[in-house]
Parts: sequence; C-alpha cells; structure tokens
Amino acid sequence: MLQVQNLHKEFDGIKAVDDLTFTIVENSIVALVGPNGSGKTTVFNIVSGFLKAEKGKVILDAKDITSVSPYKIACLGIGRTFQNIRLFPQISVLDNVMLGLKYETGDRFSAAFLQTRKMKKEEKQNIKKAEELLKFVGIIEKRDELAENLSHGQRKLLELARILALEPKIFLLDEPIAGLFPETKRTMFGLIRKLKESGKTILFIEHDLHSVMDIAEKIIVLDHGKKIAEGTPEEIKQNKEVLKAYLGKESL
Amino acid sequence: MQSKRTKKLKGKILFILVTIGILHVLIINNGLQTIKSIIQKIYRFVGIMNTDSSMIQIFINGLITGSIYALIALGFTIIYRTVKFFHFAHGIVYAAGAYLAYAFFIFLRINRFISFFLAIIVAALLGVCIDRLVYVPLRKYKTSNLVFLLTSFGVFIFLQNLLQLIFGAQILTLRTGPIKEGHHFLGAVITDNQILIIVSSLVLFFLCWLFIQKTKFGKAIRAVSDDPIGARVVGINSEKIIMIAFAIGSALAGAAGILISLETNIEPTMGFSAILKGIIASIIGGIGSIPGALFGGLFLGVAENLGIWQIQAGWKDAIAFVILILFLLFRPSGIMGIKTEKEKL
Amino acid sequence: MDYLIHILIIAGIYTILSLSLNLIVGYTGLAALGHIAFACIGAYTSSLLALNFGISPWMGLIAGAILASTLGAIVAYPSLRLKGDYLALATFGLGVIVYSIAKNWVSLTRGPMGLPGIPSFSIFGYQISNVWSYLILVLLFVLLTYIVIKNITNSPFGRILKGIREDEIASLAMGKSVNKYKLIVFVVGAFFAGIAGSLYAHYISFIDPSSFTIMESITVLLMVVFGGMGSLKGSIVGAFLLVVLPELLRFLGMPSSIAAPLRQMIYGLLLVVLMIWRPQGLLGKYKFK
Repeated sequence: MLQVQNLHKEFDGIKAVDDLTFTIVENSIVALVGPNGSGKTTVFNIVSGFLKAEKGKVILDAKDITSVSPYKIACLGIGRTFQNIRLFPQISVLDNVMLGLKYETGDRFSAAFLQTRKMKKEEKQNIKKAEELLKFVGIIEKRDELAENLSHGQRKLLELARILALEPKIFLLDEPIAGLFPETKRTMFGLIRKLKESGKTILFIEHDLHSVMDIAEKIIVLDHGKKIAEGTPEEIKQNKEVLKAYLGKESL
Repeated sequence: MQSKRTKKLKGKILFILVTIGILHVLIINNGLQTIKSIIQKIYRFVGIMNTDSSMIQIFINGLITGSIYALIALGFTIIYRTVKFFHFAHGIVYAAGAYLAYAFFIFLRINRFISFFLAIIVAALLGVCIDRLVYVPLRKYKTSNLVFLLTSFGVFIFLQNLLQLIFGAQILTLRTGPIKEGHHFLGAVITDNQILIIVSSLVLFFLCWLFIQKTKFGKAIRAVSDDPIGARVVGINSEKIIMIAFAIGSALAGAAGILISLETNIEPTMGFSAILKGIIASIIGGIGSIPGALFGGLFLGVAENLGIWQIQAGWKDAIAFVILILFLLFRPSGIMGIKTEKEKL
Repeated sequence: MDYLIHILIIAGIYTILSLSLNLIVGYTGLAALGHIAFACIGAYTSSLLALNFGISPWMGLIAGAILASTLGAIVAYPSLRLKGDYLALATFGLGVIVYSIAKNWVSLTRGPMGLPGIPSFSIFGYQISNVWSYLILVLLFVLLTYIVIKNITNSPFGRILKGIREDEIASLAMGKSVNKYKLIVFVVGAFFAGIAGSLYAHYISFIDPSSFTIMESITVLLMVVFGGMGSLKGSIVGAFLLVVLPELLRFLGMPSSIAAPLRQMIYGLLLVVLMIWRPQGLLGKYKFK
C-alpha cells in the first residue's frame, strides 16, 4: 500500500535518509526502529509531505505522492502523529478530535452563515463520531477539558483519537508509547491491535527495539539513515548488524 | 567543502550586484534609457577625474546615514544574539542617548566629552534595566518571540512619550558654535562631524568584532547565542551574559544617538525610524551577523539616498520597508546570514 | 451631550476595527500589525469616489471595502510564509507603505493636506448629518460586523481557524489547507476594516494620512489584546475602554501637550502589563503565547 523508493535526504551534508526503500503491505503492523538520530522521523516527514527529499519517491496505492503538499497527503489517506505531540492546546479535547473529521460542506466559509438542515445534522453526527472516538481511546471524560490540561498519557491517546477521526488508509505513529507508564503502553498497543483487526495499516516509530517485539509483524531497522535490516521479529533478533547498531546492547 | 564555500560566496556577491542593479533600475525606471545612463554613470564613476560629483555626494551621504544605521544594527545584533528576539525598545535607548547628552552638555553645561561619556553609560544602564524589569519576567515562561516584540513595543511607546513629557516636543540640538565648512573630496563635501560618524562607526565595529571573537566574554556571548543550554552546561551564566550584551548594545545605541545629533536634530520620534532602519539593516545583512550589520546598514543608507535622489524624500521609509519585505519573503537569512533551518518538526 | 455621542461614534468605528482584527489575530493567530491600512484604503476610496465622481457614499463604502479586502489578499501572502515576529514586521511594513502612499501620492490623495468636504450618507434623500442618526448608522454596522464574525467563529470553519492558531502543522496534518483559510481571514478582516474607514471618512468629512499611522494600528491591536483575544465581546469592551478612558484625561483638564503623550504612555504601559501578567486580556479565553 505504501512504498518508499530510494529516498534520500541530506541536511547540511549529513545524510539523514540514505537510499531508503521499503514497502508497507495493507493491514499490517510495521515498526520502524533505530537508535536516536537514525532518520526515522525524517522518513515520516518526507512521507507525509512536510519535508521534500532530494531523491526518491513515495507511492501510496500506486499513486506518486512525492511532491504533494502535506494537507493533501492527509486528505489522500496518510494520518500521522508527531514525536513531541502536536495538539491544539487551548481548545477542548472534543474540538481537537472534531478537527480531524471530514465535513461534506459544513466547514466551508459560506456554511458559517447559511446552516442548512443537512449541515446541522452533519454537525450533530460529527459530535457523536468524535465522542465515540474519545470513548474508544478511553478519555471521554475529558471531553470538555482544554487539551493543554491533559496528562502526557492522555495527550498521546488524544492524538490517536484525532488521527482516527481522519479515517486514514495508513497510520503513521511517531513514538506512540514514548514516556508512557507501562499500563498506558499496554492500552496503546491494545488500541493498535484493535485497529489492525478492523483492517487498518499501521507504521510506527519506536527507538526501543525490545518493546516492539510482541506487536510488530515486520520490523524495519534504520541506522544513520540506512536500512540495515528488515524482517519479522524473529529474523531481527538474530541479525548481527542490528546488534552492532545498538552498541553495547545485550543480546535479545 | 571548499568548492561549496566559494560557490556560496560567488552566489552572495552575485546576489548583491543583482540587487543593486535591480534597485537602480526600479528607481530610475525608464527602460533602455536606464541602461544607457547606468553605463554612463559607471564610466564616469570609474574615471574619477570627470566623475559626476552628485553621485559621489549621494554615495557619501549614504555612507554617513548608513554608518548610523549600522551602529544601531550592531547593538541590536549583539543583543539579538543572546536573547533571540527583536528588542524594539533599542530605538528608545538610541533616542535617550541623544537626550541625555543634551541634558548633560547643553542644559547642565558639563564638559562635552564627560557629557557624552555619561550619556552613553546611562544609556547602557537603561538598556539593562529594560531587560531586567520587562524581559526577565517573560523569560520565565516559554514566551514566543512575537510576545517579546510586542512587549518591547510597549516599552518603546512608553519611554518615547516619557521623553516627550520631560523634554517637550520641540526640536533640540547638540550643535553649538558656528557651522564649520566641510572638506572637499572627489567633488563632494563632507564635514568633520560626518567624518567622525563614519570613522567612529567603523572603529566601534572593529572593536566589537575583536570583543566577540577574541575575548572570554565574546566567546561566552557566542556560546549563549549558538546553544543556550550547552552554554549553561559548561558553566556560563547566561543571565549575566545577556546583561553584558544589553549593556554593550545599549551603549552603542546611545553613542549612535549622540553622533547623529551632532549632525541633525533631536526630537522625540527619532528613535522610531532609527530602530526600524536598524532592524531592516540587520535583516538585510543577515540577522545575528555582525559583519552583516555593517553591510546591511551601509547598504540601506546608500540605497535610501540613491532612492530619494530620484524619488521624493518622503518615500524613504516606504523604500526601506519594500526592501525589508522583499528580503523577508525571498531571502530571510539576509546577505551574510546562514540559511535558516527548515521548521523543526 | 453631543460630544458624548461623538465619542460613542468613534468608539463604534474602533469596535468594527477591533472585531475584524480579532478574527485575524485572536482567532487565527496571525500577527497582523498594519490593520489600519485597510481602513485607510476604505476611507480614501470612498472619499475620492464621492468627491471626484459624485458617487453615493453607500457605493463608496462597498467599493472601499472591496478594495481593502484586495489589499487584505495581498497582505495574506506574507502570512503564508512568515511566522510570528517576522510576519509582524512585514505587516507593520505594509502599514507604513500604505501610509506613505497616502502621504506622498499627492496628486491622488492631496497628501498631508487631506481631503475636505466629504459628504455624509443619505437615505432616500435625507442626509444623515446629525450625530444621533450617525450613531444609529454606526451601531447598525457594529451589529452587522459582530453578527458576521460571530457566525464565522462559532462555526466548524471557525474551529479550523482556532486550530490554525494553535498549531499550523497539526492543522496541515489534519488535511486543512491552511493557506486558504489565512487568505479568507485576511480578506474578511480587511473588508470590515475598510467599512470602518469609510464610516470614519463620511462622518468626520475630512481625512488626512495622520489618522492612519502605524500607531493607530498598534492601538487597534491593543484593543484586541486588552479586550481579550478570541473574545468578540472583549473586542467591543476593549475598543470602548480605550476610546473613552483617554477622554477622561481631557476631562481632568490636562493640556493636550501633556494629555497626548500621557495617553500613549498608558497604552505602552498597558501593553507591557498585559503581555507579562494577563496575556488573555479582560475577557479572553486564549492566552497570547
């Protein structure tokens, strides 16, 4: 479903992404792993259109989206979260989610003055949808809170709810469990599994190889922008290159 | 790496030449005739003997105002490097320098050199006070650059009107005694004071450059500028460094205010256009760059004077802002600044 | 008494300005510092059409507003590429440029001499010349502006604007065309500012560039911040307070050589105090970060 071909991105002479190629198959859970600075978030930024690569292509469902602007890519079906959580802090949790929902005509400028019956119904439906999503991730009780008042774990869940509202074809989650308590980590992984069960595709970034072993079906390992390994968790466990990259890490 | 550097340098020089050329064409505005007259001018300029003297005069006038702009930009840049926001109130420190010099020299009749020295010291203190009273509380939160700018604006408005209350709205001057005749130079005239302005500016620039590059404090300023957290890690007290930067920068502003008042009038609104020009000069030269401040200031001075030669003087401000907006949109790093990093995600 | 009505009219005109600026700055988070330039365009367009071509002030009002919104579209362009303080500088610069044009393009605007004798509005042949009727006219426009902007901000469209204010990049990631929204917001904000300019011109019957300086833009911004960003009622309160309170200074019998700088000093101090201690202003829910 998602293909990345020969991606190359440099910053001031440093190769952030070096001739990277991989494919994400539909309805799979894939982990993009690597030590800090290995280029994982840069890959996300390129795929979601926020950065332009010097070389290479990004293909979504056989459509070349390499030079498409980020908001269009979001509309085409790539939903992403951010490493340091980008929420809308001074508006309510519910509004945060509603901003991900698609409106047929209700969010047009003209709709501000002429609310047809259809639009009013759409708004009501969207509020319901947003509430359902908040229930799904488990923070419905925070519905009217300002997003900035949420705890770290709740924020991560809110980001997930928001990206769910987008109804994307593929979820790009940047460090979804970073900084979470073990219980919330389990919740997050549980939600990711539920997403897979309902047919979604998930690619997520994680720097701790250990934690992805149980959940990922495929693992892609990056180091200094290069792909050094790709395979099932079992295969990765045995991979010498991977162990070398994680200098000094005990064997898995 | 080498070829990249020379490429960049060539690119910059090309850009400068193209900008000057475009500016010239825009200003004179007449197509083929323009090109003819440009060629004529270059010919005359190069052949010093039969130079069009008015061109030299314009250029010299440009250097004079440019030196003042550059001094303002210099102080502004030193401060900017440590705090990373636009200290708009810098303009009122400039005006305060002039008014203080007036108060000491004309009003209290203190010796000229002591007056000017005192005025510069008080200006430096004023700058530090603004930082301590207004900016320090803001630094406690993660305040955005925009809020700093607006707050600085508020300080500026407050102090500008305070100066007006104290000294009145009328025009004052530091000039005493008869007006000395200027020297003739390549067909243009330049007075002692004007030479003083240009020379002082260059000397101060050189001293600041030495200070930043060679001294311990200078290194500390650079450290705080490049990496505030890292600087703290190695034990640099960034608050102290910021204070020093404000002191030096404000002293420079005060000095600039005094220098210009030897030439023109002192009035309450003098700080406003001064700081705007200073900011524009800094951005043109590359925000955060000291040689850039010098270049930007001189460039702006010369460009303005070239401009008002053909267009009425009233358009001066508009010209400066058009140049600013063009730079902001198409080359925000200025001539000598480093290309800014794409927004961190 | 007439003087009091006059103050209310001026306050009403400023209210239209602060409401329209709040849409741009308070709801969408764009640092627009040259707002009075739109009013300048509205005022001069309307006046010149009336004076040179005898065009009815109503048509002039609309023409001025449309021309102002065209400038708004132009101002929107830098907002697409510049952030925060750089955008503030650029919009500030555009304000200065418009002011310079008004002051220096003497053949068009008569420069500092200004345009005297601007006719007032008339309905069905009846000229609106007494202060009471003008007050009603202005209040109607204030009401119109308030209703329009309230509808915009309370709608799903308005929600997107707030999202852009909070985080542009996240808004893009949610599939919103941020550039389109910025453009619309500037056009609408400029439109109403243009209306305010025309109302001013046809009321005072004389305009010159000194009514449209950059300080005026800062004053309007202060009204928005003081009243509260993201609060329309706050903009109304802010505008009224900042028009009425300086008048109190005059009431205390101070000579204008003291009252004028004192008024500005209060503005400056207020701006500093707000930014440090109460960035959300009086009624705002959104803190200017």
